[in-house]
Amino acid sequence: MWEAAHAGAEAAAGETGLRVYWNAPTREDDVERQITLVEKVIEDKDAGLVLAPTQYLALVGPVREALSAHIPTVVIRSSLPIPSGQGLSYILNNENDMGRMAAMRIGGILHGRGEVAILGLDPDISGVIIRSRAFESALAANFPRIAIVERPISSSNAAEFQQVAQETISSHPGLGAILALNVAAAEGSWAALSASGKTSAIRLVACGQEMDLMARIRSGRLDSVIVENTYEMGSRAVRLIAARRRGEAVPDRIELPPVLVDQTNIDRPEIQQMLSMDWRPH
Amino acid sequence: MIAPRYFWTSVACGLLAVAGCGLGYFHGKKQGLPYHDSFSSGVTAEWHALGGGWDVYEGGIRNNSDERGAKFLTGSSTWTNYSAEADILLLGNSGDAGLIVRSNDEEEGVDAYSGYYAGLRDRDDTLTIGRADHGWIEYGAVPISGGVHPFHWYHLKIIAVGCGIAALASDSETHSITAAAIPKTDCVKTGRMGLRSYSSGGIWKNVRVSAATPTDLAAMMRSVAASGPPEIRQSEAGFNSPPPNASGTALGLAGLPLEGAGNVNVHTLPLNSLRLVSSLHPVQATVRGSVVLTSPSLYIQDSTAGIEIDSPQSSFLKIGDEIEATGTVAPRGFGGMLQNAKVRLLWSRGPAPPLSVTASQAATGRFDGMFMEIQGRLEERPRVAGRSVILNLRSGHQSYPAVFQGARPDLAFPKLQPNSLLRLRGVCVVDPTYTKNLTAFALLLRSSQDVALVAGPPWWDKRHLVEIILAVMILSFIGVFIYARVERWRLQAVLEERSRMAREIHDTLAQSFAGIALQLASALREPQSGTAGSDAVEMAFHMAEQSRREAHRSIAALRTLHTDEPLEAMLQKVLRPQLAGSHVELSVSRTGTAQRLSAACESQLIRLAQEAVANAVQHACSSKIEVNLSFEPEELRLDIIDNGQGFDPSQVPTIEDGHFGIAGMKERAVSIRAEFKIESGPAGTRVSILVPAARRHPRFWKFARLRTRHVKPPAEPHSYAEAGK
Repeated sequence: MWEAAHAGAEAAAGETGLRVYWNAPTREDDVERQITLVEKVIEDKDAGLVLAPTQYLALVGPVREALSAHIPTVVIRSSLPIPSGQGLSYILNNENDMGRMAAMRIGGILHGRGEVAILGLDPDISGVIIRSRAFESALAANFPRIAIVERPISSSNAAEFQQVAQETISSHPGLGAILALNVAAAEGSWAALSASGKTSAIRLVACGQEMDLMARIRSGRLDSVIVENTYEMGSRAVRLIAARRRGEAVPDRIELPPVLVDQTNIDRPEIQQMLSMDWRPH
Repeated sequence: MIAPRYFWTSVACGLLAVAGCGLGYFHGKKQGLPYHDSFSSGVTAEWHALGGGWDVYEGGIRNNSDERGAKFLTGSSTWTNYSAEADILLLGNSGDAGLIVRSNDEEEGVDAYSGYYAGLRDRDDTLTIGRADHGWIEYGAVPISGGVHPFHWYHLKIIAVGCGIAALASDSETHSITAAAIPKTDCVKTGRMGLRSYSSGGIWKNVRVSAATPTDLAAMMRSVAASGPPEIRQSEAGFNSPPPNASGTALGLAGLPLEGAGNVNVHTLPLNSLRLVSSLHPVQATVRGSVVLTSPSLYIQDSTAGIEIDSPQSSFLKIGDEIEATGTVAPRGFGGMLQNAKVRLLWSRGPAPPLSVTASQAATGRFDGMFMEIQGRLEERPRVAGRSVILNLRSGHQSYPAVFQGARPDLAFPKLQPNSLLRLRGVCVVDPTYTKNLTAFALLLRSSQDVALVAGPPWWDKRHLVEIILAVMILSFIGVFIYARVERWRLQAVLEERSRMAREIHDTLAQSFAGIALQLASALREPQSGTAGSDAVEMAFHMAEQSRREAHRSIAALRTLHTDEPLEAMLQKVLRPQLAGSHVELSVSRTGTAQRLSAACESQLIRLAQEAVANAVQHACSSKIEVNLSFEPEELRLDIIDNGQGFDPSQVPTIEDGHFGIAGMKERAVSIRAEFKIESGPAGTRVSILVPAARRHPRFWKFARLRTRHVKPPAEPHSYAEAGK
């Protein structure tokens, strides 16, 4: 998903006269390396920092250091326990919207009645909790005859998700849909559905952004993906930094609406731009 | 003129040296091609790892990690037109492995370099080619006939000539060829080469880099033309067209010598439960976990614990793989082992992050079989034992060994010094095989990159302290020696000065006091004779007055005479008071251009002039004295000429006779390496001092002169008569 954020950042940088240095750890959970990258930004006295934190708490110190060094900072996608303002802005996904969109989609798939399971509930990630609660609320309000049969708490390991999904499929023969709250849960669920030959019988709706998920939409084996608009996150983040450097007032917090991608709209230009990996300066 | 000549000679030599070094550097780098590394020596010192776990493995280099964009680089940033090729095997699916050329600005990170990459990707069975510039631009992904399979050997060659970049892949068994190229645009012109993998790990063998020509590029481009034109695949639609292989991420493991996953076993046990299994009867168990170590043993861990897996399939796994293993539980100590296990690969993912623990925590055994990060101070140099290298470390009260197995363990950690503070990542084990029951635990390292130097040894170790003490002792000895020598020179100077003062006093005051005593004795012997006694007392008075003058002169002689005034003026100031009260006519003149002399030289010349004038007044009864300074190109000449009665120079009294006057003058002349002459006759006396030019103004004395304090010339002496007025 970060290729799209890179593309958005480069597009905005071309318009604002900034230059983008882009890097990420080779392991997604390598907090230490991400801290090193933040420290490099501080050391280089860069014009600004756009950060998609891999961990909720560990990056608090480095981000505070960047703010102390008067480096405008924009945290995207996941928030940190630091109040916005004083040079810090957040650009986040609207988790409530995402939950509601998932509920409406699954309600439509199941025609208002049936069983659904939620996978990927990680209590350590606040966005996922909000997403899940919004889903449940919207489902109860709009489709009261749809029951949530499983909502196990698990970590972000795809193998564990696969096992959990398999257990859920086995124990709930009437299961009509699965909501995967993140990419790892989607991959684990999809593997379990493929292995049990139920990709058609049990529809999978995923949250997140990953090229492989898009490929499965194209093949018809995945119903839909509710995508965080990371392209817009990268673009808005660079624009915020440029505005803050010009001394303009900037919002402390922006929540971007997610977009549901399915076979019917995946080739639309606006969707393709949102999923763009073309970060080359224009 | 000499100095500029030396200057330009030095500049020329410097330029030649720089040019030589530059030529040597570039020539040497050019000599670096062709470059070949079969990794048979086990030495990877020429390579630089950025991410991943790189180690020599069965005649190749292996990245045993699923990290995204791990790089292994070598070569020179000046390499320009060349080709790089290697035999490549992917260790997992849903990733790629290949070669980098013209790489610059490398960092650890997914696409953190500027250069070109061509790789074999099993996600969509393609040969991919593109450019990285801290981001990835894919210029083409050409389908490979027969697909790309893990654990299958391919040969890949990438060539860079001018702005032409192309790659050619061939299947080691079917020999089918696939080519791809990047259209000529603005390009990176030079850079290193490297190995890279993304999410899959890999093995590279027979890495070769050779100089390439446009002909080589053209030959490869003919294959590219057959494969069709490239297209930039930066959109989702382009990237997923054609869609990835139908087998998908985890389940399609064609060619993999492991059983592919279907439905996972939902009845697996958490790993910590194996500790409770009875040892009385063999128990079969199925477990799942992430691979954290593959060599020397296979270890997996889940969120509860870690365990060793004994399986013949372990060599096909890599760190980060999620596996399911079924085998017989062999409880032991804190953990357990799964023997004769059958392994199923479920997922290929990035390696698990390490748990950061202290040595005391690790020593509890709670982390047996788990991947962790720990710090320790190296107690001694790394020790080689067979195929292993052992690092003995200490942290607090805990000692523990860190064990690494490699092709050339003796070369694994060449720079580690005892007492260095290290940060290590590895699998904690309490197995006595590694601890020898001497330590609570041992750490099994995955690769040599698992050891990071936090801080070098402190400077105050025993060896450095001994060296410092020895250095202080030697310096103290030298200081004492120099002090003793200086004191000796000072004492010698004091003694010389005392000798000179003795000469002065003897020649003047002693003789005068002797005369005064003689006159007073005469007056005492004849008290009744009023005239004679009065004459004697008057004589004594005059002698006392003369002695006072002599004493003043001697005192003045002891003071520094040198000022910044010209020598001619200084002579005037010093000599005129000497003749005060007399009727002697003094003239001081100069010929030639006046030059400054060293302070010592000028002082000695003034002393010589004083002595000569005193002699002219006291002994020759002169009425006229001329002092001439003559500055000539080769010498300075000082003449003191009087019109007195003269004397016979051969009859001059010597030091042995108790007279220091002439002898003292000669000594002064010798001290400034001047020539001293006396010519005397009835018409008068000429004293000449000739100072050679080289002695007049040596550089050292010039330097010293600039730091000579200005001293007031001696004041004109007061006479007793004046004082009595």
